[in-house]
Amino acid sequence: MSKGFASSGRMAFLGGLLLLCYAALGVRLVWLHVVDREALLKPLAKVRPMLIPEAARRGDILDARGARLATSRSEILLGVDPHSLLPRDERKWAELAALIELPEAELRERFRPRFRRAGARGEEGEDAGEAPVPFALPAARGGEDEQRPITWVKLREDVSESLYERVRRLDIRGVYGLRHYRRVYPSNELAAHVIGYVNREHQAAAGIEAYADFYLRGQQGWRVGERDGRNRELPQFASREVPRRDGYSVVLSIDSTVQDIVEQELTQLAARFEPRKASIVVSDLDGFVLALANYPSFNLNEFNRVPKSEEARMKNAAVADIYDPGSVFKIVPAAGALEERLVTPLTVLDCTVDRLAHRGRMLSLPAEDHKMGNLTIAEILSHSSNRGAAQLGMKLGEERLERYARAFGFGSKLGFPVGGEVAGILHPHQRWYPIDITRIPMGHSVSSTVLQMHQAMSVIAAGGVLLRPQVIREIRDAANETVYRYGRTEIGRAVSPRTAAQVAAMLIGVTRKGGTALEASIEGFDVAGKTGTSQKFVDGRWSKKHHIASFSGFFPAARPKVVITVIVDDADHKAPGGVAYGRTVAAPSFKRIGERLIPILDIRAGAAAVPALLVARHEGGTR
Amino acid sequence: MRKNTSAFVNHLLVWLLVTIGLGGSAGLVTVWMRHQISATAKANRDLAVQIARYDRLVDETRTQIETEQASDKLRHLNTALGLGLVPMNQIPVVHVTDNVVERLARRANAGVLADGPAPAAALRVTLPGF
Repeated sequence: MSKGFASSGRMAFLGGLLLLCYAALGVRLVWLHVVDREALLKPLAKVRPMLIPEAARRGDILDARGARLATSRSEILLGVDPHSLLPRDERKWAELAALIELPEAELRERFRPRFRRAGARGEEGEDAGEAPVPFALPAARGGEDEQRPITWVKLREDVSESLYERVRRLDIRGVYGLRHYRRVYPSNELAAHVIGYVNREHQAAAGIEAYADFYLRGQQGWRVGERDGRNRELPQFASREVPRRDGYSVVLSIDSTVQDIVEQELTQLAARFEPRKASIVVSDLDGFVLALANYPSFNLNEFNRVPKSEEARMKNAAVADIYDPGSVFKIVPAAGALEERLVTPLTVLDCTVDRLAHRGRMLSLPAEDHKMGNLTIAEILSHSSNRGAAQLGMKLGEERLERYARAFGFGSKLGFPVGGEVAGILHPHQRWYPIDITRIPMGHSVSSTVLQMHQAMSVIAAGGVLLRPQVIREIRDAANETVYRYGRTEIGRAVSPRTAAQVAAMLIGVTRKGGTALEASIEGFDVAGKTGTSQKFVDGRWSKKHHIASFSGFFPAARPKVVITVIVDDADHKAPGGVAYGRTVAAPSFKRIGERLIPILDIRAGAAAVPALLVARHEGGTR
Repeated sequence: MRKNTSAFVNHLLVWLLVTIGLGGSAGLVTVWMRHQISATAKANRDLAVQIARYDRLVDETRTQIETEQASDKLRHLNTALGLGLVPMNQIPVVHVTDNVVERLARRANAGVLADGPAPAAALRVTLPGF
């Protein structure tokens, strides 16, 4: 049999040739992968890797009923690279202009390719420049005279997801968006001073936003990968990935229904009295604030439109401004004297005297608005007798009066988390003037915040315990699981439960016939409270035309469910008789708010547990 | 000897062909696997992008709903649409501690019999069963 072409020699040659080819391939592979590796990978390593950040979604701020008071919505910053535009897409430009509500002429102007000199960054304004993408490669450095293309021109910055979908469907090459989260406050002004806001640089600037920023902000994620020649990610080459962690949600004790009622009331107060400012605080018996509002306020979604001259409206006046508490402070000497057993509720003091000896000095007692006679302690409170309060203070003495004032929360911060709380002013008794022992018991020569006044009244409602005012109930993770729950926090005991009950019973007389604030009474409920009217210090002296009217109280008196404090600053020019008394200005607001809260908080009158004797029976009194 | 050399060459050729076949197959499988890995990675990424997109749309819709439900907007709508809805500012529930039947009968009779509440005796006449 002839072997033909397949002779052994030829076969061996063919086999050898194949082997040689294999060997050549092998050598070439080794050459490429080992010898030339660095040189080949160097340009690729510059072009292909990409770092893709993944923004974390900021957590929500919820009210006590789960309504969102602050949330995050993704928005798109829409821009164009004018040098990437294609002529075939020009017919779609008009449609794009209509979609983003930009005049077509303006759109065409922004689509015009432009250049700038190297080093002349910013000449075209903030809306134009290099693409603000985090993974953009730095441009090759050239000379100062080199003309660089402007590869980014802003078209619109608040494009919603749904609108962006429609823009993308147009498929215009060179038009693209950069996604970011924007903070939205669905309820606008509601609880503005508590919630705070995130500024345009995405920095939490005030309120709960700033206080709980650690929980809310989350953690940005990122991944390192590669991209193809068309700038598309190649997910198979992802080498590292750190997933984003969305922010936790913060559940407040603020009840948006209660808050809305309070803000409506403030609006009514503002319309009726045109005060300089006003604050209302509502809280429960565990120290949790259900509503806190100030007038004037601002819209959280438009915080940057508040004029510089009106920036004071962004301050949380209820915790950052101080006032003379006025007669509301009388609960302190009364409770102190009862606690020390210096008096009983039925002890009678002569409130007609105008001078009394104290520590070897004759001190003049403060004036009364109207003539008082011999009054029981209960009547001193219900009639708001200045001289009676001064005598209670003198019975206590400077040291004990200061101690009780501090135990009620005056003179130090209460630990409220938002608003830039201040401590108020309560000097150590060693620095008091001799006359102060007669003035401090009626709420002069001492300054407090609205919240301090409110917490002092809460001491009586809560059975003698000073509670830390709180506004955060829970922290929840992104899966809505509770990770931390805040509870009632006691700062300390001010007076015994017995004393607190006695004072509460006496304060009922304030809202009954003969008391100073019948206007605060609520039908079917025992309301305990105290009016306050303090003069303002204007132009270097105590003004008789400018007052701060206040009412702080709680109900039902026997088993309190809610504490309400209303402060109205400088409403005299519209007040009846030209003087803004707590009785005429603040007490009616308390009543209106209280009545509306009854069905919402399911407040029931309950059995009266108040000894009738403790309630004042005398008539008269205006403060 | 020649026969042996030819056998060696034949073997060599067979092995070469087998090696080429196996190597090619292995290469194809590798390429196919890499393609599948890429396709799976891309599909996963696309899914993640889709999920994120739907999450964003849900967020946007939810925010719109919350905004439309804001108290001031509802009040404005109430006025604009002339609905005449009033806030719940009266006590909707009265906790009755006395005899409910007598109380209801008293209320019913009050308008019929007299200006004020009817005495208990009159109720018993009206409702002999009670």
